[in-house]
Amino acid sequence: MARLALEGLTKAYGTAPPAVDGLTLEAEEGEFLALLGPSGCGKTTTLRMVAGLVPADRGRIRLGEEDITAAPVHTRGIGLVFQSYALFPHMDAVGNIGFGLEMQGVPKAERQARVAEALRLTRLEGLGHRRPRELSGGQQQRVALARAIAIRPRLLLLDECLSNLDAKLREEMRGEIRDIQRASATTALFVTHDQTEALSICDTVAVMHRGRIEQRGTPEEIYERPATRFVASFIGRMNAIDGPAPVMTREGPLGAGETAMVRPHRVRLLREGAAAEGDNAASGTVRRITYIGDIVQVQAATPLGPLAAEVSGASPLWRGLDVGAPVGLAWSSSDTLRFPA
Amino acid sequence: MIFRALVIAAYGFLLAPAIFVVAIAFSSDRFLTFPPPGLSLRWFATLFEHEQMMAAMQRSAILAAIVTTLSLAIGVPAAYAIARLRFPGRGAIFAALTAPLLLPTLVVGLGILLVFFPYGLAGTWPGLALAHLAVTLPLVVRIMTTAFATLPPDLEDAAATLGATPLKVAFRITLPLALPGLIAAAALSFLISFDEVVISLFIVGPRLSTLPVEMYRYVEGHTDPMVAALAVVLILLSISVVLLVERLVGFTRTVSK
Ligand SMILES: Nc1ncnc2c1ncn2[C@@H]1O[C@H](COP(=O)(O)OP(=O)(O)O)[C@@H](O)[C@H]1O
Ligand SMILES: [Mg+2]
Repeated sequence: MARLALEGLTKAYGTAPPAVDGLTLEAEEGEFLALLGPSGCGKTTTLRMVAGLVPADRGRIRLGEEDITAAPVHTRGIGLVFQSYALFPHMDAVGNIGFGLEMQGVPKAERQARVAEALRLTRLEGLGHRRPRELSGGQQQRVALARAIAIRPRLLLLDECLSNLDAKLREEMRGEIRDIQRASATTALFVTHDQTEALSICDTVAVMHRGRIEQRGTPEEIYERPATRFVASFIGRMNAIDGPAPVMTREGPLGAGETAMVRPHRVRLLREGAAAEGDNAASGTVRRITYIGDIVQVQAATPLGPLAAEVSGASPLWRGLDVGAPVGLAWSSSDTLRFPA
Repeated sequence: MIFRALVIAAYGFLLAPAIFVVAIAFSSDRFLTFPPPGLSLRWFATLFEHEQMMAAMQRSAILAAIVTTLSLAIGVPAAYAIARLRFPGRGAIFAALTAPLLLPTLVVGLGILLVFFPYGLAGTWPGLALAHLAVTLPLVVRIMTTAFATLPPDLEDAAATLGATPLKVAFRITLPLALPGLIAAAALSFLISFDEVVISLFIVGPRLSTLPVEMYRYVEGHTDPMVAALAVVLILLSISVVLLVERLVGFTRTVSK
């Protein structure tokens, strides 16, 4: 329940380029912040530095009013849910969840009450006396979460904690984690490489790339106004056209050494002979037609390069369209972003 | 099939001496004759009344207990440091601590004698204990380094984030999970110290001698089946330790998985 501020955090393992490289990031009190980035970009290293498990080479970590950069792990009061869950195999669920309270010296009666409360919150009632190996993956995940929140942490860190669950359970757990976090008003840092996960449950998303934060904003800002080429191509699907090319973007015409980007669902599909609308157009031939959920993506080869358009599966536009058929594509300059290549 | 026959033959070859020894231990004859002309327990009775041998057995048991305690007390923290901490000279320390495992015991024994003699350690309790440590400590370090290294490191990290001090982490998480290795290391230390003869031969004095050395000396001067009876006692002791360990380790395995 405190504000987290990371200032210029840096960590290099050996001689490799730094895993985390001058990372600066803030999470407001009670905020649910996603740290989103591809595998290997330094997310776990960042979390481990915040928890105190990895010493930072440079930079500061502030929690509330306190500078905790050099504080020993066991004094930080930060709950961490590991990707591997890291449950203690020689203790049952109650033992696992009560461990932190025992370490804090909480008296037995209160400890029992708080463990019961954590079991209830994570819907584990009746499973308290099972050992980790007697629990399913989803239940183990809940014990790991219950264990981290039982200590009433000042900050909750979650490291890809849903990635070992199947899709349906994952969606269910997302909502539960969100509810628990909101109810306790705990500041939380949720690490994931899954953009759907980040965009769907977090107040704010920080996109990480090569050990740095590329952009921090609401899910909508990240999606609609990506600040860098990396964010644009990492979040959602994106068409890229390398300049110079006859394409108008929000910021003006596309020149040499620049790349224009437009989302496939902003590209309209035109049947042969239809008049082009919008200020960008290209004609080409269909290369592939793919279902993505209830939308259909049509990929075409054009003089500007390969371009994709997405239409609703119910739309008549793509019906009867075959690979090799001629198509037109049109899109607006206001939907077209421009980045240095 | 051929493989199976080979295995049976190999076991037969290995166990044959033990079978001879057991048969002779129950002999009613005064000499080491095989097959024994009749069966009796007289050599066990002789053994248990043999004061010198019984005193040696007691000394060896006490020595083995001391050696085991010391090798765990030194070896377990050393193994933990080697497995978990990153410090300069880590590899060198591991190599130095485990190298004696690779040397012939005769060489180790001679080396120890050369070093100990000038300090008056030969023929003393500390001398014997230190000499045995030269064999058991490397083994404990080897076993426990593996035991610690194979524990998932996240568990200790998780305990630390939950507020456990390093000491609490060691006693509540690391040691309980390394218990199977700990039990195996303790049992091996005990048995090795109890059985050790080569190095002990260099170190024992006229007043302080261990059971295996006494046995060795006895055989030089006597040809009766009492040592066979003693061998049977030792075999039973080893088997019970191994079975006990099997029970304990099997038990902790199921508890901690
Ligand atoms: N203990 C370590 N020793 C050496 N390199 C490491 C270690 N942990 C992580 N790395 C490297 O640091 C980079 C970032 O890793 P990590 O923080 O785990 O990324 P992420 O969690 O985003 O996948 C990777 O290139 C990884 O190989
Ligand atoms: Mg990771």
